[in-house]
Amino acid sequence: MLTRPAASILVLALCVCAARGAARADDLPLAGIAVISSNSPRTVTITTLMEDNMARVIESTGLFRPVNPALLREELKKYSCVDEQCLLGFAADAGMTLIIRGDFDDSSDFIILRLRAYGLRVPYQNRAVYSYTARIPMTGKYGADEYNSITEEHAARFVSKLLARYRTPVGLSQGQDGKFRTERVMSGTYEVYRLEPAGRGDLRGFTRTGTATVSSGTVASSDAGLKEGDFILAGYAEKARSMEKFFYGRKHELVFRKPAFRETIYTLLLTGPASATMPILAPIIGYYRGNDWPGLALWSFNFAPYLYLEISGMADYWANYYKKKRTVPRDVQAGYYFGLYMLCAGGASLFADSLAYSLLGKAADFQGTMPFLGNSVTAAYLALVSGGGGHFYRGDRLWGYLYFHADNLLLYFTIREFCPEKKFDPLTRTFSTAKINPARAYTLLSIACAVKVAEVIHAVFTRDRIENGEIIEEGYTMEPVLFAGEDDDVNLGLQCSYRW
Amino acid sequence: MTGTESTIHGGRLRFAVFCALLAVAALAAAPLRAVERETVPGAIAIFPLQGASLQLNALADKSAETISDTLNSLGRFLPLPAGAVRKTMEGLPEGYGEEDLRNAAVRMNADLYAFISITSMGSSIIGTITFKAVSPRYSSMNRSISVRAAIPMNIPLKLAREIALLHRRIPLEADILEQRDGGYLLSAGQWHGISPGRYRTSGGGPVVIRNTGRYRALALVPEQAAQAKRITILTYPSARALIREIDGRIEYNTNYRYSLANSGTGGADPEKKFAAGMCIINPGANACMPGYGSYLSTAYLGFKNTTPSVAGIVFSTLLIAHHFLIPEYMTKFKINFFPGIMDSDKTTDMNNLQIFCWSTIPLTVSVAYLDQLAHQFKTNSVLPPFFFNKNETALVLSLIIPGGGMFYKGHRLAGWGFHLSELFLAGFCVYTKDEKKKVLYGGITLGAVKLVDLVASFFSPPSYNFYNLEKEGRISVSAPLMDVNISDNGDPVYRLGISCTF
Repeated sequence: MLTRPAASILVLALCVCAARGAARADDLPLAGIAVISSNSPRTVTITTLMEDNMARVIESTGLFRPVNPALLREELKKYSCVDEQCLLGFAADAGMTLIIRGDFDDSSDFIILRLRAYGLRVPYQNRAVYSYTARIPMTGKYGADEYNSITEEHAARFVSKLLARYRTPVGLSQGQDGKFRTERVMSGTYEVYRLEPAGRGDLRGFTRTGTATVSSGTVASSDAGLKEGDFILAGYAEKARSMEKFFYGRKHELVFRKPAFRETIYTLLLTGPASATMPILAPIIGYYRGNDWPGLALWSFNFAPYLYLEISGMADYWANYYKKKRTVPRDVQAGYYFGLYMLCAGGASLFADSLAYSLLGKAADFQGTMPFLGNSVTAAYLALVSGGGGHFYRGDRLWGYLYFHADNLLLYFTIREFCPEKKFDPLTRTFSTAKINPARAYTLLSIACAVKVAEVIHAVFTRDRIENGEIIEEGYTMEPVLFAGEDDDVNLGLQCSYRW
Repeated sequence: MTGTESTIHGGRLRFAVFCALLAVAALAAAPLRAVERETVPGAIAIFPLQGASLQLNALADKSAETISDTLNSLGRFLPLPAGAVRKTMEGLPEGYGEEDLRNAAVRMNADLYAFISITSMGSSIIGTITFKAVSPRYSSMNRSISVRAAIPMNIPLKLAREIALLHRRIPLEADILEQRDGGYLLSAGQWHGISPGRYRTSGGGPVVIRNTGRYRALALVPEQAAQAKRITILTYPSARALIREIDGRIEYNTNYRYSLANSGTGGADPEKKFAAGMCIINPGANACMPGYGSYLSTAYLGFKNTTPSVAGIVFSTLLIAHHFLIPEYMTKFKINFFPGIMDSDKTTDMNNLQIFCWSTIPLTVSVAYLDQLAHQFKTNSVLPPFFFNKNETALVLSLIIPGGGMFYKGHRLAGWGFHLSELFLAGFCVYTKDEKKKVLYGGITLGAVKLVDLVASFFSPPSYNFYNLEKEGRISVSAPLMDVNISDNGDPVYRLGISCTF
């Protein structure tokens, strides 16, 4: 009778046997994917989808050949090989180069997804290469299609981030002509490494010996004193970028209607009414209806000063000063024109924010196809006519409010500089126009125009905020440390750490 | 032999060969590395003790799982696989005791073990984890930690948090396994939180990590440590991020359990009802019944039981009345009751004060509403809407309504204090607006009080006991202490005190 560990290894080895054979044919390293824990019926459903999507995405990179994930998971679970040490040991025995472990934790309103990739060979030697934790909201209506899309998005995001970090050794070999060549054609400057002699343990040491400039697979120059067996580490940052871009475009097509010029025309026609009614409609039909409370708070604090300027500017009409025979201050004139701007166009940006933010949230969660969104021409138009409108339309509040304040302040002060004071002389009972400072006025106008141009370009190139879920970056922590050493001294310092 | 027999015979032969191959493969597989774990010092067996209740047993299992995850994140004590622990526990005799657990841990080659017991006491659940060292090297870990909560799912998280806190001062101890070309192989790696670089050691000299695996590292170590075959690296687990994450999960569970959406009858959008209550329902109700209307408006949020805070109603009613009557008191009821309508007794300053008093009635009405709400939240054991962002919400409320944030967090007395102080000072500034010095001093004082209000609203902890129970740390046990010693000169010394576990 087989012992359990022996049986597990046997079955698992058989599981990967077919994939291994095929991998040999393609000469691709093997990647294992196993989503091990799930704690609710819906996460069990998502598990299969996640594994399939992950396998597909991994295969699409052309760098790995995935092992059948469902079979792998079942066998790992059957033989309780679910802890990290066992998993790594198995992956090493099965000849895998990469193993990805996934876990789902259902918390009713959201699901926590944890993915972690381990590299089995040099330079990683069982180390975790990348760890990804995402909080996936589950507050809408979800069916098989939505789950499939969500898992595909997270799989793609994980793999692209993994590839951005992943390095593989590329061996250097000396040719007949005495020149060193890389195993595959590549160009650039790389660091050269050399393996140390193997010891009893699994861990192989390797040291950096220098750098080498490689041109079309041939080492052009090096300060490393190259030897047969030396290697360089090649990355896949470009592949990661293109992959991330591809999957963003794919989602964009899925959650937005095809951009149409007609939509921009509608937006143009609605700009005036939307801007005029924004102070009343945005908080009610935008933020309140969409449960966007942070948006409401931001709106109220950011818009209050401009609302005051708008109301006071319109109420304190500068022409009335002529009737009352009083000097017309520049602020009053500027306030009026600024109020007109806010009434006709300036408010459109916050109107766009109140509606777009919640709609983009729905798009991010695959809750239907959103109209009017995702159109670069509309974004450019909104950025042109209102402060931060393009960015609010894209869902980027930080930049949106930055441009909103910058545009409004620059516009107000530019108008103010161009409006000369009309002084009333009580003796002659006539008005005289004071001079403006053209240098200051045109400087402000130039700055305002430059900011506007930058804003429009930035808005066009800004991506729509349609990422599903929230990536929980454990990241770096900085903390002060104070502890007593064994020799009775006190150690004080700052500890910076990164947790995997 | 017929052709058919030959085929059958051939098939049997192939089957036998296949079986033999399987057996050989199995035997060959046994010594593979998958079952050969890299030994890591500090292996810990976590035993979830089973009791009478299925729910508590499940909670003990969940606690063991959460604690294992936490220990894996912290990288000091490596939990043995749950499956192996479960199998070992199945083999324990009926009514097993601590000695049996210790023996089981020894059989599993654990350096220390922990057992988790969950008990219920009234509406609270108490979780206790007890650490016991098998290897004398870890005897400093012998301790017991207890936590309590009313929400079962918070017990594993609170135990995990205490363990994370415990790890903040645990340096990395590694064994030196072998020597290699001037370097040494250490039994610590990325899992323990080290990466290539230079680290301080307790022995004085630095250790230089050259390469790391998951559980191993190649390093240059000080001579003293190399001889001792053991090294203590002064690097500490990054517990802060983990604690923050655990706190977030406790916060979520607590908010979920005590939210109005779950505990009330008002539906799934208490935030909308709260906003509508503040802006529409409460002002309308107070227009009809000043003071009492605030209590009536609270029912709109959908509390299961609403009981009035009579003191709050009386006080807010009197305060609303004072908004109308203060200028009248000050002029002995000689001036016109309505602001803006001047008469020979009404000075401009008094008119300004009257306008101020009337215009700030919505603030007092809102405060009366928040006061009644704070009472309902406490008596119904419900958390206010937006409590996920409680500090930010309290800050915003305090920005708009004097003392609003303090009411939101349940500090009713402090809320009234801020409200009255700020209104009084603002009224003073309005009344004396032509006397610059008085306005300046009044304004500075008002600014200072407002600042304190904002800071207190943001930073003060909520006063809801049911919430604080979920957020509290380990149960600290205090006990009276009394002993008698004989001093050097022969006189008895009596000592009396209280010992506390921090």
